[in-house]
Amino acid sequence: MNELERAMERENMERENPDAAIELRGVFRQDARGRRLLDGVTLTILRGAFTTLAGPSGAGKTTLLRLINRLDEADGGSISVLGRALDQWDVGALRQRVALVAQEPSLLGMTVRENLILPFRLRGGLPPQMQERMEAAMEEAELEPEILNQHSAVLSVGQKQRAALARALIGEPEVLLLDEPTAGQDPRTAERMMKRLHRLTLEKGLTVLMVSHRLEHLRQNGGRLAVLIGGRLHGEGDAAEMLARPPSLEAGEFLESGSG
Amino acid sequence: MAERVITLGWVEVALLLVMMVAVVALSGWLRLGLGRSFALGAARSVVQLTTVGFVIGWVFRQQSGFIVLGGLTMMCLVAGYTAARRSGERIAGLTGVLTGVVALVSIVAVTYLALAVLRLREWDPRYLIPLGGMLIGNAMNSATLAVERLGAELRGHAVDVETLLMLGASPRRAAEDARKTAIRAAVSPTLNTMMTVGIVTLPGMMTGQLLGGSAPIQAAMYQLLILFGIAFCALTAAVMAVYAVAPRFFTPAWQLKRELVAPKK
Repeated sequence: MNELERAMERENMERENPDAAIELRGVFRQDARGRRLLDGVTLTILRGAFTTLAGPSGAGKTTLLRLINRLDEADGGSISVLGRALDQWDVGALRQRVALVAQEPSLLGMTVRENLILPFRLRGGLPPQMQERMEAAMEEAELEPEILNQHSAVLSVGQKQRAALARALIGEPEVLLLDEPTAGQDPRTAERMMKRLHRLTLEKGLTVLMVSHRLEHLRQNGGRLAVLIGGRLHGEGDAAEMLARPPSLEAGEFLESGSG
Repeated sequence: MAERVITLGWVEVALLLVMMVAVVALSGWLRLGLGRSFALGAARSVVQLTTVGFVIGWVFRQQSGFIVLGGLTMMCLVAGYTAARRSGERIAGLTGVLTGVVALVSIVAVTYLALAVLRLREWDPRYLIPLGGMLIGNAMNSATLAVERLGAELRGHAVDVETLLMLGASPRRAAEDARKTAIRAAVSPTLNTMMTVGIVTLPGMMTGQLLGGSAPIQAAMYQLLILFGIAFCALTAAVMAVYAVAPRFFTPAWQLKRELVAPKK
C-alpha cells in the first residue's frame, strides 16, 4: 500500500457514515494489570437496527457497552455516537440519549415508581403525562403494573431487570445498550421482551445493541449480529447470513454451541 | 471554708505512678499481655505532658504573637497530615486539602471566640493556644471521620452511584447520599457529647478547671464555649472536607474512579 492509498483509506475511515448510530475504530481497552479486554475493535452499529453482540464470557462484550456509554475510557482508538466523537459530548446528555441497562439489575433502594421517575428528577422536573409514560414504558418492558408501588428490594432478579429496562425506555433514548437483559427471565417472558424490543426499533427507530449469549431470538426476529471473541471482532452482518456462513472458525464454533 | 488550690509537685507525680505500677502488676498477674503497653503508655504520658507543660509555660512567658501564630500554624499542618493519613484514602493532594480545611475552619472559630466572645486585646497565648489546639484537634477528627466514611460509602454503594451516573446524573448528584451520610457520621460523636454532657460525664476540661480551683459556674460557661466551638468546627470541617474530596472520586468525564472504589485489601 503506498502513501496515497493509505491517506485515502484514512480519509474514508474518518468520513461519517450517516447510517451509523455508533462507530468504533480500532478500540483498545486493557484492565489494571495490562490484560487486553478489547483488542482493536472496529465496528459500526446501524441506526434503527437491532444488533446482537454475542460472544463467550470474557470476550469483552460488557466492556464494549461501558465504553460506548463512557462509563470507562478507551485506552486507544476512537468511538463516535450519533455522529459525534465521545469527547465532544456533554456526558450527561450522552447518557440520556444513549441508555445503558447493566446486567446486574441496578435499581436504587426505593419503589419501582420512584425508580422510573428518577431519570426525570435528575433532569430537573417531571414531564406532563407522567402516568401515561410510566404505563407505556412498563408495557414495553413487559413489567406487571401491580409492582409499581413495590420496593425494589422485594422484586425478583427478572423483575429488577425489566424495571431497569423500563427506566431506560421511559427517557426515550435514541440508542439502547442492553447487557444480558433476559438472563434472569423465564423463556416465555424473554421471548416477549425480545419481540417488543424488535418492534420498538421498527416503529420508533430505536437503535438497540444487546449483549447476549442466548441466540434463540435471532431465528424469530432476525436483526444484525456481531461476534466478539477474546476482545476481537469476528464479523458483523445480517444475523441469518452470519448463522448460515460464520465469518471465522471460532465464530462458527461459538454460534453453533450458542444457538442450538 | 478556705479557698485553697493544691499544687502538684514531683513527689505527687511519683505517688501517681504507684497507680500505674498497680495496673502493670495486675495485667501481668492475669497475663493480659497489657503490662508492657501500660508501662510504655505511662512513660510516654509523663514525658509528653511535662514537655508540653514546659513548652507552653515558655510560650506563655513570651507573650509573642509570632510564637502563638507559629504554634497554631504548626498544629494545623500536623492535623492536616494526620487526618489525610488516618482517613486511609489514597487520593492525590488529600493532605493539602485537609490542611486547608482544618486551617480555614479553626481560623474562623478562633477569631470569633477571641475577638467577639473573650474580647482579647492582644495575642494572649494563655487563651489562644489551648483554644486553638482544642478546635484544630476536633476539626481534624471530624475531617478524618468524614473522608473515611465518604470512601466507605462510595465503595459500598458503587453500583448505586454508577447507576445514577448511567442515568445522566452528575458526580455531584451521584455522590449526594454518600456525602450526607459521611457528614452525619463525622459529627455524631460531637452531638452525642452535647446531649449527655454533665449528665453522664464531666468533660476533661471542666474537670481540670474544677481541680485547678475555678468557680463551677465559670467552668461550666467555659465548657460551653469549647463545646459550641467544637460543634461549629466539627460540622464545617466535615462539610468542607466532604465537598472538597468527593469530586476526586470521579473523572472529569463523570466516571467513578474504579481504583479508588475497589474493595480494600
